[in-house]
Amino acid sequence: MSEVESDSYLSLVYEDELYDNESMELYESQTTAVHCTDEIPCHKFESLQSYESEFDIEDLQFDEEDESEDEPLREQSTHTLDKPSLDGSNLPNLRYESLTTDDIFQRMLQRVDHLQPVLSIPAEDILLLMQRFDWSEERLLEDWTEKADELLIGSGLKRVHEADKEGENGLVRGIKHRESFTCPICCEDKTETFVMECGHEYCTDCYKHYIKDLLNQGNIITCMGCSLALKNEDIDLIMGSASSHKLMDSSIRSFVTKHNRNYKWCPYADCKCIIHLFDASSLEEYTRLHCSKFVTCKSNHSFCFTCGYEMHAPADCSVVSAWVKKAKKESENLNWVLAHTKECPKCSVNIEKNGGCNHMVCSSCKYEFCWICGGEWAPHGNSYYQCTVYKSDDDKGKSDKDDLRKTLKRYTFYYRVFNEHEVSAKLDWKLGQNIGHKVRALQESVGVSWIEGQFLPESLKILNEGRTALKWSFAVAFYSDPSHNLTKIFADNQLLLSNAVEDLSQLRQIQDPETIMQRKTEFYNKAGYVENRTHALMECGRDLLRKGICKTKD
Amino acid sequence: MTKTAQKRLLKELQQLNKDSPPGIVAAPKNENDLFVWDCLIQGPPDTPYEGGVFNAKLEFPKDYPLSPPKLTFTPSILHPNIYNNGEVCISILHSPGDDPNMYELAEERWSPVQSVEKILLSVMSMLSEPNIESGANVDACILWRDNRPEFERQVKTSILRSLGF
Repeated sequence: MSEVESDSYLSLVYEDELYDNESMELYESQTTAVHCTDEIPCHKFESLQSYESEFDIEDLQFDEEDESEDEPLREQSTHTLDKPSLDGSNLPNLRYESLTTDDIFQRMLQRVDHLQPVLSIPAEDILLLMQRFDWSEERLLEDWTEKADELLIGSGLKRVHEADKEGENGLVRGIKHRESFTCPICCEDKTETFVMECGHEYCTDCYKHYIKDLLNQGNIITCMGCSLALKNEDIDLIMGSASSHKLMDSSIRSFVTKHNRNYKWCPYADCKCIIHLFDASSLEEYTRLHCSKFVTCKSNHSFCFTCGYEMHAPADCSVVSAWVKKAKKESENLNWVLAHTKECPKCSVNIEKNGGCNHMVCSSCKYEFCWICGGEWAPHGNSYYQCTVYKSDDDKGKSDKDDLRKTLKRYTFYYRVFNEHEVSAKLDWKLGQNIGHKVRALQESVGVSWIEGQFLPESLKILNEGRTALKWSFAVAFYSDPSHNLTKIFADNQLLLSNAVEDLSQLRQIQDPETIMQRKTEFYNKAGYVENRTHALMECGRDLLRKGICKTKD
Repeated sequence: MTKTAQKRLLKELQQLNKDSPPGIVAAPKNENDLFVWDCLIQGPPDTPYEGGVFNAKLEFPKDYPLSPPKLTFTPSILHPNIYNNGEVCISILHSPGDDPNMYELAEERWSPVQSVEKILLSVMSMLSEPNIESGANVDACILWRDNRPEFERQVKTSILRSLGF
């Protein structure tokens, strides 16, 4: 752990115990003002998101049999994921599964097979009808029983005057080779054409351009001249490769988008997983209790089913959206400056801290100050590890400007710790990339079995969850009434978890496989402790939300 | 693609010069650019638009005829299916993909077999039979539905004004 992080976590508590009631009122009246100031840093969730997605999960196969009470129980064989709710008692247990568009398409094909004896038309045609009805079997059957003929004509499977023309022209659908043919679309002479039963004939080049444009839309593709539908086999015939697959894929995509109550795309970049929640009706219960339904996709990305953000307990979705919105208002640039630099309290030059302890010496004016509180270094004496000075002044006669600055400072403080934990989480992920090698090294050099070595990835997972919880807890803390006792208890909980997380994080720095094995019990104990603390912090955060102490609206 | 579009537009222009439907004149604005056309459309008889001649601009995309052109009346005219900026909203100018609910029949929508002539004929029939259900100009829709004499009066006034009376 680099010193930047280990230094910073020690001053998690925004110490404003000295706020008296009067100053609190002042503070509350200014929270709105803060929204229009330009000095609020920006939130970096997206960057983390893309970062994590880059990160290949194969090295991180967490133990599938992990049955600790807080962890999702994963049954890869059936792709059914079952997660007991965090406090188990009063929350409905929502079952969900992780799918891909291919999985869904295979299911649709099965349904088509079921329908085939009922409708007694070719499976290809049923697939087309299903596509038209957004893959809803019920609506298809309803329409079929009412007006089968109209349905077939409307879907382009049958021509209006089929009977009287079929015999006459005897046209067969397919590619034709012609001596000379002037395509009515491009007005050029072509030899290869595609013709359908309707008699409309166009060159295959035009068809290719035409189909290529439509493949991504997921709708039925028809003849260019009338509404007769091109079937999947026709599309593959014209386009050469298995292009119809692309059409089916985009059709399933639009199906998922249209059924977004039960189906959600995994928000991680490049992840193609879809989460299917079997019963979305109890989601409201979750919202009511300030809980969120967290789901994990096949690629091991966890996110909130309701808002699509990463796991954000103890914060609920409204806190997350308020926090993110607040942070998004500001530009990335300012965000960087605020996240990585501080102004020298004396000469106001921007200073980037790239390591080292909190005892700062300004390179331009040589002023010595504390990185955490910005105050002079002298009174800190030997307490290198904890800044006890950062307390808001409660001078009675401060001006409005001071108050505004204090509110902003308070936000900046919470944002800063939030961001610092995000950065630390990234570093942990980086370490985690080698976890597979580490386990292998253990197997080879110390001779432990694979299953025995699993405490490593397990502890990493717990560490990461602890960090995420800690990170979001600062959003909760920001919106909580600082004068309330429970908020103080919450802050204590944050500090405990923070220490536990850093302890575990430090343990993970050990490189030597033998030392790792020797300290295995320590891994277990510390991970267990982090887990308990995470749980406690989440409970406490939920209490804050339930009791209305944490409010996003002023 | 541009080459195909040019060839096709040239062919359509030849066709229109040879045999143009009554009440319609259309040609490229200038000889060097086949992708912008000027059109003159005569108001159909027995409609409020009778006696008027309306100027419209056709803009073709580079991937014509795969994508439909855009038709804009200059200046705009009062009609339920014409936006205030003069843009025409009818089914033939929409690709099938724009209509996921399939309200419009495939034959009525844009496909590469449609043409300038068919578009302008559709506009003529739009002038005689406005489609209130998918209105572009809501005010005109309400006026047309609730106060037809006033609607006709306003159209007549604007025609007279456009003719310089």
